[in-house]
Amino acid sequence: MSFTKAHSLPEIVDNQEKSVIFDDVWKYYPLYHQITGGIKHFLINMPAAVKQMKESKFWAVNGLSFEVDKGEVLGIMGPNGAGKSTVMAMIAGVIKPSKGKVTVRGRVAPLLELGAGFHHDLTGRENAVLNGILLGMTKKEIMARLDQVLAFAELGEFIDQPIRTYSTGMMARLGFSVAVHTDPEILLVDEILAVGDESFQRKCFAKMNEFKERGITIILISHDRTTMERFCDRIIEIKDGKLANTYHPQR
Amino acid sequence: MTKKSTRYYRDLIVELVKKEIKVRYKNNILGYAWSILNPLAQAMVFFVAFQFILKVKIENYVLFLILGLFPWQWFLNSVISSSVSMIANANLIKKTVFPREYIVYAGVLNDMVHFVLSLPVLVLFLLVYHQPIYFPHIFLFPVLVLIQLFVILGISLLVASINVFFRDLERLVAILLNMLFYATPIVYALGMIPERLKFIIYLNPLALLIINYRDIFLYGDVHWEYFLLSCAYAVGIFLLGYITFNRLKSRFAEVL
Repeated sequence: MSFTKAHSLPEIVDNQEKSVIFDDVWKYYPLYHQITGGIKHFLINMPAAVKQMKESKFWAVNGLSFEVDKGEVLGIMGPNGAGKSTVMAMIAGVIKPSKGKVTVRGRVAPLLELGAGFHHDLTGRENAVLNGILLGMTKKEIMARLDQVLAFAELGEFIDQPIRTYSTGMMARLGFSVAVHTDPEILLVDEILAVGDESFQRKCFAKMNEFKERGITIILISHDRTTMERFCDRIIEIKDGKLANTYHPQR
Repeated sequence: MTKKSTRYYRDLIVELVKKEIKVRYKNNILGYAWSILNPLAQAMVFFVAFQFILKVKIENYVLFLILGLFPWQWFLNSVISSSVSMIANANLIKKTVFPREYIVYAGVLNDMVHFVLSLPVLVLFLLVYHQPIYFPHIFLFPVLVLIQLFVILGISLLVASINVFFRDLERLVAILLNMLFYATPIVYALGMIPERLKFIIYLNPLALLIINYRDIFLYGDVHWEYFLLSCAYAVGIFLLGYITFNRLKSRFAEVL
């Protein structure tokens, strides 16, 4: 066996068991307000604005490395502006790192912010179909599990009412239900379980526990340490875009 | 592209367009009427202003106006809604990876559906004015619609993507559209443009299209040089919009 093979073999085996790998990831945002301030502002200050745009960067993530095992429940905590949402966005694939490498294995289902992608004049049923498509399912796949989705959301006769008549909790239930029925391999939950009543929250956690048992990776962002420690296998704390702390909560 | 993904993209565009159409018709029974009434009311205003007051001498002026206003309306609605489409869907773009350009496609196709649905009104007016249908010129009509579709898609993709970065572009677009309306022979005829200003027609794909819409319906004629030029514009503008959008789209989630 040659040296390179012996060297690379364990790494490959190891990697197969990872859902997400952040390898020295850096992310900066140009200070876009220079241009989002408007065309006039940009044109008048053109030379300065271009120069400033090139030079002034906001580093949201600074050399972050961590791995998430397949089937692990990882909690990400940290103060506002620490870079948690940027990390989530990179896992979801909507933002690319400036430096370093993000590896994601498996179908990612982001839990959308309350009502994102919903149209208020359409019914719950119509929105469930539309949302499923936006999350990457074909029409056929959605129709096959629509009954399950609607049953889980527990909307009763509201299913065929326009969702502008829904309460916040009802909308959250529908959104959560669509997302968990997309057969995700990695579920991203960004601080949205705070809405919905106690019984629904319990149901969500029951569903997430079921996911956990099925070996689905779950990544959570929350400020609620008690809940996070009860539910997560591991918690990482991020501060100023860097890893500040990692620990396994005692259960 | 694999089989499954082809089907996915088809489902995506179908469902998005269906959503747009449903939303437009959901809240009012007059839905269809509204989308027709707007250009018709405009046609009436221009008819009174230009034929009664300014004594413009154009035969079948109502028909003439409708043939300019219906295509214009499609263009106008699509470009305006596209310019804010990314901001309006910011929540979705920040969280999911579905192809963003489909928001623009769906918006433009929705307006195209309404343009096509307004055709019975055009036919009605053709009958009222005892206007003969010219063969084979009429077969060029779907081709003109297709050319217009690509012109609109290109401009829509362009304004949709740039407006993410320059938020006041939508205001500039509103002003430019207003100017473009009068730079296009919609309320006046090609022959009324002074000779030294005629070059403007060649810079304006919409003018080329509207002149040909009228040619095939009113005069049984085709301006082939305008036709070919509008084809070239459609290809060029679509590519410009498509490339710009695709170069900028990976940064949308950062800015929105």
